[in-house]
Amino acid sequence: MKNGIGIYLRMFLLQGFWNFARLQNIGMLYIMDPALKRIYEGRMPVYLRAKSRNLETFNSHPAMSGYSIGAMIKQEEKLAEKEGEELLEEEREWRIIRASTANTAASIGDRLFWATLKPLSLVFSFVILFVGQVDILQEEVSTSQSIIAALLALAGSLLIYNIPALIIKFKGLMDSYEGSEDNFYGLINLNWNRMIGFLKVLGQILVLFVIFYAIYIRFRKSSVDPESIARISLLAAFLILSIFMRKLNIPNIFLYLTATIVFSLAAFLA
Amino acid sequence: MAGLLLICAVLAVLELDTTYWGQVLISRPIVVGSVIGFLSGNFFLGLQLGIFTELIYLDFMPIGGVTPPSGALSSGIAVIMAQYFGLDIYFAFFVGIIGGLAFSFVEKELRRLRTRNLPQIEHELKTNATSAGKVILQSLLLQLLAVYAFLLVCISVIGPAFGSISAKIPEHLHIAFKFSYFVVPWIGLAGLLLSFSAKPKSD
Repeated sequence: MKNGIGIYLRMFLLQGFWNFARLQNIGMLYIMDPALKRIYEGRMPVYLRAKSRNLETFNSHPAMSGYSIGAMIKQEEKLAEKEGEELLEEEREWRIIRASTANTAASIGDRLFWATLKPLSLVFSFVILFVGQVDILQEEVSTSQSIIAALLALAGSLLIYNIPALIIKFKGLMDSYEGSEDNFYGLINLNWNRMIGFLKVLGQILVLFVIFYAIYIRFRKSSVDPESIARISLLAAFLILSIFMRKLNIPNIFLYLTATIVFSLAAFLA
Repeated sequence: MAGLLLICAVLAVLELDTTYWGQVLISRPIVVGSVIGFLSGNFFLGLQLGIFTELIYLDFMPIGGVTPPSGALSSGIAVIMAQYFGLDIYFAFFVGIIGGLAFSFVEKELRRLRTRNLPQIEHELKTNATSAGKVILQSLLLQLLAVYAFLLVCISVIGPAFGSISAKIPEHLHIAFKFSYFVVPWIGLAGLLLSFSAKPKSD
């Protein structure tokens, strides 16, 4: 692919003009424009037609959009050689490829990046903080804790998400450009479900470790008295309530806000 | 004051990463909280507020047309409130959450504005009267200014208002807010556990 790095860098602005009507269409045109200028050099009417085409609705996951963009560049190269009825037929094909790759990549991206890698990177940060003896859940924030562990936790939160995201972004661009219908423009080169499944199991194991370790450090100095039992019971109640709210699709933020209101009322009434 | 204005500028730049530029997660609350905490003189306070904010916002996903509350602004505003306006950490967190929720309405309006301008912009792009790069640059500048203006309102109105009443807040409310703040990680960790078994929310 010509100017692959330039196109890759432009992909970071895919959502630069996000709008409700056509979602990422302006960002998509921005990414495609250098390729369009090269493909349609000296042919202004067909270049403008290609620009109009590329302004149609587009929506995908930012890290997975390469799987559409590479395929679209390849398809534009085919379109440039067509005229008349053949051009219309190829444009229909262009729309099918654009929609199918974008939708499939978006679905995989939402599950892999938003629902798995982002929370997993947070869990890793917790593990690094706990290993580094940084008790971030304590009531009084101490400034005399390990700054190295805290910085490593921050780096972990960024790297665990970004290393796969940046690689897949580039791989998607290249694989889809080289790909065809046979391998769904590179989208079936990787076993996404297996990857997501493995990461989710890893996440569950680590988050269970984090929960039990957090309970341990929170209550290790407590004696078995009514106050400690009441505190543990309340925290357990909130853990269960949070799970229940999640099952009902109610975001945790509303549980926090409700708890604040209920505690305030209870404090006044007590 | 100049330092605070600079911190707001940094926060506005980081917020762009949420949707419009990069999406490399430098806008995630744990990062924003730590950066703003470091710049304002208490790194660990920023780290804690960032982690708590991230835990509470974990089940919001920027899928499709959803405009979730801004975790970046929530954590940033919380740190500013604690460091510059003397709010206790649990009140600062609450104000940050309200700020993040309020900004999602501003964000929705900005997206509506872009949608209203879209036909004209598309016409100009189709006739080569402008370039997509220029359109995106203008969009980023508008977003940056909107976030900065929102933060200015927070530090010039909401911050001083809370700062002036914080000494008069009854002890009962301190206890209530403190308790609800310290159940946040437990609410969040339960959500985190479920996030590895649940499908992403579409709305």
